[in-house]
Amino acid sequence: MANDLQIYTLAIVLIGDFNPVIISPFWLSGKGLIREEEARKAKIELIHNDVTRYELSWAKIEVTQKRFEIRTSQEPYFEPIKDLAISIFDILRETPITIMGINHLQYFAVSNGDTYYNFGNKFAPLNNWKDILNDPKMQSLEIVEEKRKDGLNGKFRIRITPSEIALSTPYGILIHANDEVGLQKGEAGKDREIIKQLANVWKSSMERTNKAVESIWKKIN
Amino acid sequence: MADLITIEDALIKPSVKTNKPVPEKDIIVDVIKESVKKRLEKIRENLTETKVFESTISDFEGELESPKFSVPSDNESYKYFVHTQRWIGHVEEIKHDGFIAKLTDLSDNTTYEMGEFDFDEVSPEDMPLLTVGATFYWSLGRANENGQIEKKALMRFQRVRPWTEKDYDRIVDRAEDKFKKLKWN
Repeated sequence: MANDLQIYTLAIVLIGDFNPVIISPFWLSGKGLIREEEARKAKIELIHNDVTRYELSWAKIEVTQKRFEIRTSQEPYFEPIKDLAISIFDILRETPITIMGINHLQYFAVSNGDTYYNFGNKFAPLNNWKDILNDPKMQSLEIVEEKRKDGLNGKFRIRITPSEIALSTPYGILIHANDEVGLQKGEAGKDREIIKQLANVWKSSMERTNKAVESIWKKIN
Repeated sequence: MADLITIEDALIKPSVKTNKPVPEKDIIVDVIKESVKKRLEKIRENLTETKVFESTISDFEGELESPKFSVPSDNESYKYFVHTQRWIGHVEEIKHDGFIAKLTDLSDNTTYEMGEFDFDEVSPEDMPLLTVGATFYWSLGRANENGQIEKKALMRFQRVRPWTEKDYDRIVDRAEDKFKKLKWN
């Protein structure tokens, strides 16, 4: 198969004003948001006023004073990471949050070098570069929707790069969709506006990304 | 008289000379601080510089994009679960050895199907969550753990913040407010 999806990582990023030390595994289990066993077995790298960083068996969490991130590479936990992010800030309702990003990172193992080369050649015709560079190759392509289709304040961005993770073939491609939503006019970010948007756009973000990736592959095959 | 320097001082603060031995508790605190400091520095290397709050989206583009866990850890590289079919389930009926649930496909919510599950399919820590109306996620897919591909089914009950009295009050207030605004013809 030419476009074998091998890894799908989903990451939710929130920008705001956080207190990293609160969001520990034991706080999460104390609030009933994860299982006690999961909190006990969490691999804690650091819990500190500046940074909290640990790994559950199904997600990684990193919180700094300005940034919250949760991510997983296990599809059955896509909804649970969304539930967890929403629930954390339903409890910490006073937390100011101004922007969110849903990152879809899809890693494809391409079966042969020709398809891999064509991928770059299709989207950034390499003939245009042959008089400038010797044997040009596409390394990174980023296309941005400056004004979102749904009218929300934010951007939708797609970036294509070689995969930085080793896959089952030497021809790995990463298609990264970054779905960003910020505060709307008149919002201050102190009334869970962004968390409500996360719940609202979740489904459409999944659908839109899958359609976009499908469309990209159709153009190649 | 030459300054005295303890072994601990030499190890922790080689450039500082003192004629007083450092109390043991202070040495421990120093060692801990040093360790945290080093780890923080290491993590900060992976983080982009934090920026001033209250900015526009474009100011945070770098922050919002690719996850800042930089290169995946070895563990993560070998723990994937893809090509899943995922359903959201709502418990309809609890029987003596299992339960019946309404299952909606997360990729196509236009139809639903009914499924019957045994209690032994539920993780022990999720059992207290199993009540009529409870929500759970059920997935079938391909797991890659340490290079071993397995077809797996995974059930997980939804865990969300429990409702408080304030939540109920807020909802009642909103409902009353909407009711007042209703115009009867």
